Amino acid sequence: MNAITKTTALILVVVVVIAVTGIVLYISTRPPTTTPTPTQTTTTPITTPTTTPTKTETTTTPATTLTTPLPGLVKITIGDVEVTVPREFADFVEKAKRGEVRVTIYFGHAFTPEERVGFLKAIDKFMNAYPGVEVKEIRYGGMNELQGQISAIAQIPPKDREQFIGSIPEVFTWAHDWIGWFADAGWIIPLDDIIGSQAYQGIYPHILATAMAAVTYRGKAYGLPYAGEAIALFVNTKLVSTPPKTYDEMKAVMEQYYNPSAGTYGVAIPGTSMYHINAWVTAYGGFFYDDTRKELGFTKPETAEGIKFFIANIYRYVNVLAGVDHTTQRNLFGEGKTPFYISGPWDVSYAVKTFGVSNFTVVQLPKIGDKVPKPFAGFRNLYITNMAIVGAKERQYAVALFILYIALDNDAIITLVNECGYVPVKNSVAEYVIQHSSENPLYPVIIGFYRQLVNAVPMPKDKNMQSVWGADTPLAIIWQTYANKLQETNSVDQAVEAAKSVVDQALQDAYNQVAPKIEK
Amino acid sequence: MASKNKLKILFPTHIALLLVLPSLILYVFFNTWPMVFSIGVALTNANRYNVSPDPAKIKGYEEAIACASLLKEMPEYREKASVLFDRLKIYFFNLSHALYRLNELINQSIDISKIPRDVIDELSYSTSQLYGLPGEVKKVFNCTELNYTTKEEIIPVVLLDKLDSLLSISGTIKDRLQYAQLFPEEVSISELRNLTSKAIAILSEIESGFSKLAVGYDEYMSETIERFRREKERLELRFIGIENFAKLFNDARFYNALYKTLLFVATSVPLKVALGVSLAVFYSSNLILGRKAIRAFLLVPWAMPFLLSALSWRIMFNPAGGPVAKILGLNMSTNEWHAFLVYNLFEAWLAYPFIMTVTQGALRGVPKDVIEASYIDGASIFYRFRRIILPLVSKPLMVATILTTGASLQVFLIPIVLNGAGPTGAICIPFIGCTSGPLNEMLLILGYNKVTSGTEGGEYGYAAAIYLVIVLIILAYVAVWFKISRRSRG
Repeated sequence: MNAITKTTALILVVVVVIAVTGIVLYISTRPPTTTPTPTQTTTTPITTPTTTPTKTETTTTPATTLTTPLPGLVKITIGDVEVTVPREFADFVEKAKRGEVRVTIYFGHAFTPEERVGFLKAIDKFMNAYPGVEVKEIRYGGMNELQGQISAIAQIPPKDREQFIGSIPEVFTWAHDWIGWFADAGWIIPLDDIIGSQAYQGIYPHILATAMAAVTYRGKAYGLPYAGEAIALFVNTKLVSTPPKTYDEMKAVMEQYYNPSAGTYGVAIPGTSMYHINAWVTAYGGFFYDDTRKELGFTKPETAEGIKFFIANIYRYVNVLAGVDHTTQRNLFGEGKTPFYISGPWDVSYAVKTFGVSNFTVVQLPKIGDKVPKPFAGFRNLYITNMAIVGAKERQYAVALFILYIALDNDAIITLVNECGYVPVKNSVAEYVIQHSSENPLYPVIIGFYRQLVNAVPMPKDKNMQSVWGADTPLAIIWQTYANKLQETNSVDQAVEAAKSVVDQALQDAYNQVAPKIEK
Repeated sequence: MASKNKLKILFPTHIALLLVLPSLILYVFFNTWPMVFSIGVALTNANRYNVSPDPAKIKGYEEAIACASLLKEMPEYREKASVLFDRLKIYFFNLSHALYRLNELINQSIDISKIPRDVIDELSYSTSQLYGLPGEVKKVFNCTELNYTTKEEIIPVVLLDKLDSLLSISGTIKDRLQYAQLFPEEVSISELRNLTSKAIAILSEIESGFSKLAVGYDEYMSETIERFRREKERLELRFIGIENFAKLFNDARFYNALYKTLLFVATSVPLKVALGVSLAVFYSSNLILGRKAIRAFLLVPWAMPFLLSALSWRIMFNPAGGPVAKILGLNMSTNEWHAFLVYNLFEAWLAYPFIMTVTQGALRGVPKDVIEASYIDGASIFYRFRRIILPLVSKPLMVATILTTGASLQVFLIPIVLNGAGPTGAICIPFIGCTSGPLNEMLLILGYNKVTSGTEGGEYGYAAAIYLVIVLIILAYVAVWFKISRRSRG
């Protein structure tokens, strides 16, 4: 009686498995324990607007004042910018300036060694100006590691997050395109939550508005931008003394240097993705995705026209068979095998090392008649993670102060421009660089990028963009066709025609692939 | 009968009960949890958005839904909403005033550089005010005061998105105008005209959306609730059954990856086995001076760190001037079969030392007198190899071949490191359809791309489904291996 058979043992095992699975499932799918019962309380009475607007479209009445300064708000000055902030924050800033508080915050980054040195100098300036705040860096090999950390910390109840102070940053820097996705997941917090949205009225006029819009998601700014990036035209001034202003001038130079048998080509480009060819698509009035209308532009005739122009007038001068990738193409330019290279500020240090700062320059992509090529613009943002709201309130104030300083203090930004070659997005610094262009040999390069940045289109940041980028795969057929035909016939003209003939179909395929994934 | 019953009895019940649970836990912990976890993930919609959201964010949406539902039912808030809209109209009025003023100037074809500073300032000021709009709504629909812990504003998502668009377009106009003060010739008036009309249109859409606060309160609240419901759903991991597998079996890229992987096994295995065996047999000859040293050198590929070898191969076969690529006329960047050939050569180079060593070991066991007898009998070199040496080394060689086949089946690093499994192009599979992707994408790489790629990455559920199929293929292969090894033992 007190022994079991093989069958019984088997049944027992199955029963235990089912029971354990059931318990696990029950625990994992249990609804939240409590939902607060709503109690009706009186809300703050609404202030009557100062004026009742009557819309007259052509009137020149000045803008209506919306806000009267609230008692809890005061103005502070960061750099040369007056910012309206909560009094408690302003008090903290004063204490930090006098060194009456001691707060340590952690700043995450994946800078290159050269960038890091420059950025640390800006951080030192901050710590000198506000000795009450110490900024310690947390270095990452790649930002995926940081992404893993901040997604993991989100799973831990806020009260248990304190033990991770020091190992996970409260503030980090990366391009603006993570904002939508990170904000949706609740991994980052808006700057508004700390200093209030009224602060932007002071900040807004001082920063490129497109940069501010780029770091804004659903009406809230998730940090502040401090530098911008867009691809522009690198010119080897040893080969071309006067940089081209029009496409025709550029074409003449490309024709002159294009001699595959001698290993020289007209231009080098580090890729053929939508990011790289967007400038010519926009020049013809086309687009890949318009996030303001949530509309795909793959099937617009202008988009096809732009790509066809790029194939017939830019791509034909590229050493395609060598491989259109960053290292190969950059080396072609570096070795003096092409007079032009179309890339972004991240290649400036390479060009400086290879040529010396006085032997190259950067200018805007030349106009095609009256058509202006507009590449994508990206912005470097300072993000605030969930870790900022852990522990004492001073910690989040210190984070906000650090962000305000790096984005608004002229001295800090000029340090970043001089040391890291960053393209400023603060208007006064950009003006300074333009006015002092002869004082620093790097400034003409920075100005070239700045001018391109202002004539660029901000890279869409909404979540649909992840799907839109996927269209690079169907579009690759264009570049594949070009390469195959060129290899087969050794004729650029035939390769151009072959590639042009598949553009419409590739765009249609791209549309078919992406359209079902677009969320309106 | 008694002995039969005795056989069935394993151990006393209480011991069984005590042991079942810990043994299951140990088994699950050490052996099956990755498998169980993968199967679980493959049956969900796991993606980059819902794998690890902040639970507070989900809770915030739940609270916001409850708050908006309550607001919808409270009559006093209808009145407050109407007053709120009147206040919001000031925001819209200010910006529309600035935009219409600018529009008028542009339509008069005024020189852009001469656009008065106050027009730019007015546009800048009224645009910056938009940042205060969500806060304005929050002041009225204050969920915290209603005891709901949420940071969300009671605004439909479509209006928030349009607000972002407006900030972006209006900001672009402001930047262009400011830039025109420095470089007027670089700013296009037609672009400014288009941007201004677009901004006016979006502003009017936003205004009409918020006008529901006054004239369509229920609709406004329903739209907001729907927004929170959708946002919450996006962050929640859901069981979707076999949807991932259905998608997989309709994905042309999967069939291409399966085809390329099996083809790679079919080509690389004979190549590396042939190379390894030939070298082993060749260097087994006493006639070769210093063969021991040469044999030792031949093991170099085995000893070298993989990435160092890969880098050397990549440089040698680099289409832009790689010496070997030049001599052989191969272009990995543009020709899928050239790349496939290089993968095979590299794999053979990496794996021949293993096959060679195994074969050498086996050859040592071949009795010399057998070889000598075959000499005396006048057997040709090929006859000797086929009929005498090969049968004698076949068993260990079979084991080595099986092991190396497993390696080929799981090929991953070679295509990734050499050319990212490229080139990219169209992939058409009969009865399934056409798509595009890396043409030399092997099965493991397909799963990897679905998880890590910047553009299509984060599809964890789908990638888990791909990997489960790979596991099934490997299991089938292992079954064949068992059968063969059992037969060879027999």
